[in-house]
Formats: sequence, structure tokens, C-alpha cells
Amino acid sequence: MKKKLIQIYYDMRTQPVVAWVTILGTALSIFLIMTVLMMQQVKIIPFAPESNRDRMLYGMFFHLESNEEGAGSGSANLSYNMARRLYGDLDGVAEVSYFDKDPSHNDLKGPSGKKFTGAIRFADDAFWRIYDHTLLSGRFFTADEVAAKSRVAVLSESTARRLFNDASPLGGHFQQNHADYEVIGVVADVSPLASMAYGEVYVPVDRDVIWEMNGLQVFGPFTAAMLLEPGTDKEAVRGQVLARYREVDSELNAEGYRTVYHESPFSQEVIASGVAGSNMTPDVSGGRTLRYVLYAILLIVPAINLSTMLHSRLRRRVSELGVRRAFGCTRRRIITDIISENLIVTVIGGVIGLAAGIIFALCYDGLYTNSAGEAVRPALGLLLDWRILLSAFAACFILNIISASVPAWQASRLRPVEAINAK
Amino acid sequence: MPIIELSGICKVYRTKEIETTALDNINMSVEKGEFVSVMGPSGCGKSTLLNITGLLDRPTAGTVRLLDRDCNGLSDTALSHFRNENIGFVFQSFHLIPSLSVEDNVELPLDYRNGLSGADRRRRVDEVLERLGLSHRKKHMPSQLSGGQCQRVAIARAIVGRPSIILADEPTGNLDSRMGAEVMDLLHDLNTTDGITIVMVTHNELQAKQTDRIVRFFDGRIIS
Ligand SMILES: Nc1ncnc2c1ncn2[C@@H]1O[C@H](COP(=O)(O)OP(=O)(O)OP(=O)(O)O)[C@@H](O)[C@H]1O
Ligand SMILES: [Mg+2]
Repeated sequence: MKKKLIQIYYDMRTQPVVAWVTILGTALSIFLIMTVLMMQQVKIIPFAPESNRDRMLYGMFFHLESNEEGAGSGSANLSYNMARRLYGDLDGVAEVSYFDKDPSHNDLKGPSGKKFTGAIRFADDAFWRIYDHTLLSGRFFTADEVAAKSRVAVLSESTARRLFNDASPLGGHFQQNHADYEVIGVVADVSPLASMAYGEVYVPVDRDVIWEMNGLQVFGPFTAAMLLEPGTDKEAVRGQVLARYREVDSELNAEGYRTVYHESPFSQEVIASGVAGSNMTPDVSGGRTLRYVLYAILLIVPAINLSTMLHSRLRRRVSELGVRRAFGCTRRRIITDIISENLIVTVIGGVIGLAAGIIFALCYDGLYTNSAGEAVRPALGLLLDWRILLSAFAACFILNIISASVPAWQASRLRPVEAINAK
Repeated sequence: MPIIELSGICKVYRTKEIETTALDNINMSVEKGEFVSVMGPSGCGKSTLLNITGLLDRPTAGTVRLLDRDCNGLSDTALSHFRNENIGFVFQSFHLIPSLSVEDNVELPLDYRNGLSGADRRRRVDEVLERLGLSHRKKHMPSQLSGGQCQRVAIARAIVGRPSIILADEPTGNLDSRMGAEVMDLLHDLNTTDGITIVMVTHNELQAKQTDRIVRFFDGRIIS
């Protein structure tokens, strides 16, 4: 290791252009890959309060068509009752929350006198159990309060400050859309990147809201968010949901309709990919393939370049390689030494590239958006997630393998006598 | 039992236009502890012979036996291990690795040997450097040394793995006579004190005469 570092340092002094182009080329490559990858990862990796993203499933939509030719169809979110019929009490599901997945942006006014618009999240009591908001003071609202449509609210910390200044918000009152609410709890601010758990004001959802269609009470603003028990197979849950669909279907048939099943409920990846729609089956494979192709291009193009650089660094060392062979270095050892030495260079470049990528993500608006498409800046802690760091290292590793294996193999095939006497 | 035994060695270099016979049916053996000089005009095949003896190159025909072992059938990996354990090379132009310090250069053969701890390796390197009077230079880079010093470092590298054979291709060729004499003294010392078998190519009659035996080459053949 020490000798490899010495060699790298020596290369940087004797062939500074090649060495720096190698390091900065790697940095640029890792920067691009990480920028794309972080944008994707942030939508999928679990972070508080969406700490259980990998165990979540979302039943969002309902789609039905008329059996009469040309009589039309309908698709939207669910009514509370329909959401419960399809997604309530499933095996392997620990907890279900029925809430409106889209926060409303309503006017707020509090004792501070300031009037502003805030994101209002209409939720239920289970919402606080499937997401882990940090309760700073007070309490969450209860099942009874939701059932009674109590005018109680949980505020995010910064919203509490805007409404109440320095006064303690607990027990205080404010107006949301001209209705009076009492503050019962304050939670830590939530990143808008946690698009399901995000809110500035949380209030009990009204379960009676129904969007009626031709006398059918199937549509409404609800989404069923399910937290699975650890180890539950998502397909098994979908199987149960499909059975529920069949029941509902036979009932609706009597009314002249049939349901269209779209592989509900959806995983976090489906939600994140923006491919979920009320009247279509989401297809993540297209986006996935596109991403993989993009990663491959971002790796292979610089790798070819880096390969040339390594080749030219090694050309200077042909005689040395011959001498090493003479003193007993095997071909395999030549390959592993070159690849591991190159890995160090790649990782140095990778660290620079990752740092640049993170700085870019923190400073440049528009890379990250919330569910409403507004620009959001991610928190540093989120970008330093171990999965992101691991992916950066993996990208370095792959870049290294692609770029170093051909030159290393060529170096190992040099004939010792000719190598020693080269140049 | 000879330590080096070459029989029927031929080496033919084929290029598109011409075929060069560098070695033509060479039979030669060297006893354990012998110090042999190889002489002959330029291009007669001395280096080729040394490379084949050192298992750096394979003969077109003939067999190489070293330490009573037939080396023809060995794989590239086995040859590498064999060289590492039994053969030390000294080259005319030193061939030190420019990016490594004196001590790291000397340690090179031990890097490729299994079962030696880092401490063992450093102790062996220090011993050898001490013996060759290079201790105060161990942190130097090759570019900071004179030619004579470089060749001493190269000899240190050749013996640090305690080989039984040293193959030296014109080890004094790039040195002035005083430095050359120093290197020769060193080789003689290794030969007599440590019993290392040495085969040395040289153009210097005087140096050759000091060795046990002179093998003369002409046009790929041994003439005496
Ligand atoms: N790789 C090669 N390809 C073709 N011909 C070669 C090769 N190596 C050596 N030869 C030829 O083989 C012959 C012997 O070369 P070799 O280097 O062994 O001579 P030498 O006796 O060591 O000469 P010198 O005293 O100049 O070092 C020469 O004619 C040389 O041109
Ligand atoms: Mg020669």
C-alpha cells in the first residue's frame, strides 16, 4: 500500500499531465454518475420520517370501466370505505394509514399576525405509526380525534415559529382556511423529499369526503399506505388485494361496471419513478433500463479514456515490469498490483468527484423536486447516506476494473527479456 | 552434480525477413560454487544464453536443468517462483526502479516471496545494505546515486533473497575501472564467502582471468 502510494506520487511528479487528467477524469465521471444516482436514490432510500420505505406499499387508485360500449370509465384516488375494503386487514401488513397523499396549500394565520400559505397534510392516527416523525413537544392526534374530526393540529417546528413567534405553540390556536385549530404537538421539520410524510401542518382527515360518480361511492381523496411486517413478500400482499378486487368486481358488475386492476399496491420505487397513474399499470422497467444505460455510458466512456491514460503511464514502466518479472513477480501479481494501484487513483478521483457532486446537489436548485415538482435542496445528512457512499465506491471500483483490466493484462503478457531492455 | 546444466540449447529468432540463430546447440554445465566468465564478440549470443539460463526466455530447443531440476516443463508461474528463490540478476545498466528508494529497491524480491513477515524482510534488507556499505544511503533515490553505488544496490537486490545462482550481464560495463574493480571484489566475496555460483558476461579480459573458468563464444557456439 505504502509503495503504491509512493508510485502514484512519483507518477504525479514525473507525468503530471497524465496523472492529473486521470484523477480529474475519474472525478468528473464519478461526479456525473453520483449526480444522477443521488437524484434517484433520494427518492428510494429510507430516511426519517420515511424510515421504512422498503417495507411500504401504497394503494392509491381505483379504475373502473362501464360494461356498456362507449359509456365511459373513471379513475381516481379512493374513498375511505373503498380504500379499507381493498387494503384493510391484509395478512403481513402491520399498519395501514388512510390519508390524502397530496398536501393542500392553504392560508395560515396565527397569533404572530403573519399570514402565509402552508402545506396541510390531512392524516389519521396510523399515519404517525407508519412514519417516524420526531415529536418535539405535545402529542400526535388520536383515533378518536380523527373519528370526531377534531380541530387539532400538529405543526412542524418552523411553522410553529412562524405562527406563534417565540410563544409556546402548545394549546395555542391558529386559523387554517379560516377555521380555528388548536395545536397539540410540534414535530421536527420534514424534508419535502419525503413526499408522503411531508407536511407543515398536520390535521385529522375527514373520512367522509367522497367523489361520487354516477351514484358510485368508490372515489375520494384517500390513499392506503401500508407498513408491512418485516419479511412480508410484496407479491403475496398483491395477491390478497387482487382477491379483494374480484369481490368488488362482482358487486360492481351488477351496477354495470368492471374494475381494472393495475398491480396495486405500489412500492416506493413505483412512487418515486413518477410512473404511477390512476388508469394505467406502472412500468418501472423502462425507467430502470434507461438509468442503467445512462450509468453504463457514464462509466464506459470515461473508462476508455482512463484506460488510455493508464496505458501511457505503464509504457514508462515497461522496463520496471520486466525487472519485477525477473525477480519472481508472477503474471497474476502484475495484474493485481496494477489494478489495486489504479483503484487507489480512482478512489482519490472518486472522492473529489463525490465531494463535487454533493456540493453541487446542495447548491444548485432544480436537481431535486418534491412531489409537486418544486425545487428542493436535500440535507447533507441525506446525501451522506451509506448507500450513496457505497454506490460511489462501487462506481469507482467498476470504473477501475473496466479501465485497468486491459492495460494490466497487456502488462502481464510482456516478455521479461524484451521488457527489461525496453527503452 | 552441476548446478547449471544446459544441453543442446538452440535459440532462433525469427522475424519476417530473417532468421537469426543466436545459440546453436550449446552444451554447458557449471558446478556449484563456480565463478564462470562468458566472453565473446558483440552479438555472439552471450546475453541470450544468460537469459535462457535465468529462465527469462525459453530455448527453441534443448533443456535447462537448474539445481538438478528440469525447468523446461515448468509453467510461467512456477518459473517465476523458481527465479525468485534461486536466481539473482545483475544487469549492465542496473535497472533499479526509479520511483523506489534504495531500501525498497533491495526489498523487491522479498515482496514476491511468501511467508516472510514485514519485519523479517526489513531485517534482511538492512543486513544486506550493511554488508555492502549502503546503510547510510537506504533512503536515497536511485537518481541520487553514482553508477558504482547503483550497481552495489543492484547486487544487494540480487542477493537479498539468498539465491544460489547469480547471473550478471556485463555488471561492470557501465562503470569506470575503479568502480568496476569494486564490484568485482564484491562478486568474488559473494562467491567465496557465501558459495554463490556466478555466471558473468564480460568484455574485460583481466576480470575474466580472475574467475574460475572462461567460456568463449563465437557466433552462437562455444569455442573454448
Ligand atoms: N529479440 C530478438 N529478436 C531478434 N534477434 C535477436 C533478439 N535478441 C537478440 N537477437 C540477436 O541474437 C544475437 C545474439 O544476441 P545477444 O544479445 O545474445 O548478443 P551478445 O553476445 O549479448 O552481444 P553484446 O555483447 O553486444 O551484448 C544477435 O545477432 C542479436 O541481434
Ligand atoms: Mg549482451
